[in-house]
Amino acid sequence: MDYNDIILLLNKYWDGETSLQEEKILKDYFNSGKTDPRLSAYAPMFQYIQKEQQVSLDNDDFSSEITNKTTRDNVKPLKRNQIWMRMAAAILFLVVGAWIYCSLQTDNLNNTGSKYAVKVYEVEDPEEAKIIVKEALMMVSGKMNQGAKKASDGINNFNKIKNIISRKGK
Amino acid sequence: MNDFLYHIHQFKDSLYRFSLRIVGRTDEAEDVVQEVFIKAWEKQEDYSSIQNTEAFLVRMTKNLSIDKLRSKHRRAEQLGDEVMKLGTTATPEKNAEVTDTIERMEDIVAGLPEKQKMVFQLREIEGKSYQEIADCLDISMDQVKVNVFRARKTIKEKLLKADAYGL
Repeated sequence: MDYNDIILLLNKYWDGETSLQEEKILKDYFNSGKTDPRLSAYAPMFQYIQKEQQVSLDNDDFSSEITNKTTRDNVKPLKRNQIWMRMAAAILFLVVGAWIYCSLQTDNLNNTGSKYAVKVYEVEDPEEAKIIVKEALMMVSGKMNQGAKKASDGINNFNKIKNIISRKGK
Repeated sequence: MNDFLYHIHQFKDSLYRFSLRIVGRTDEAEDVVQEVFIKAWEKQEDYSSIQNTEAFLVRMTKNLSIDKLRSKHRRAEQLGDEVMKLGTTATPEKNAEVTDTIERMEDIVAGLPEKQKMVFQLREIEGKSYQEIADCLDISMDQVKVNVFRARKTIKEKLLKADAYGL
């Protein structure tokens, strides 16, 4: 290519109007070692581009590092369908578990006839029933008395403290 | 290496160069590309729905590289290093020392604004079309053309200036 052709192409290049093919012609020209001295100011740009195109990663080091990291502990990424299958299995487990629990509860209710299981004694002798009721009432009464005694003790203690404080205050 | 990794392996060098253009250090660029590969591998199922795998990888590389650069700047600020700026803008003293033309070009490109630098990398070094660059950087074709034009204009001016001074 002669000087004039290159100048035309260069002007197009600076205006950002060259195609990739035309840019390749320029790169080849300036790296051919036969650059016209009048164009030597531009040569470093195209020589630099060619040099930069050869920069690369160390193939072996990089590949082995990636292989190590992607196979470490045999961890493999879950595929999308595997994730859905796991979610479906978890939901199925919960549904089956809930169903079993509910059916067991229903069975208990049916057996007792009540929400709470209560022991029922049937007494046919009126005298025996009277004694049982009397014992039950005595027990309740005893518990109430215990409670009343504790309350009365508490009030007495409170009064004693109140008296001590009022005496010291005088 | 599974099929997916084998498929994306072909992009490793261009991703590395692209990251290197942003972060400016080979070890950090290598870390970025590794991270991109691991992330891509973890989400490989999503890639079946992606039309342009390379553009997707480039976008991921760009984001991770910018994150790395920002965290580097944060660390530098914490250390009180105010000299470190986005890219590695050449100082006049450094320019005087740099006699090699390739090194001078390195400085000129490093001094370009971030977007021009990325567009320069994808067009001039990787030989991508304007549409491909637009897809990779998630910007319009017009923005790509404007950035290519501005980057070339700056480079041309600096080369002519250096030539005039006989550098």
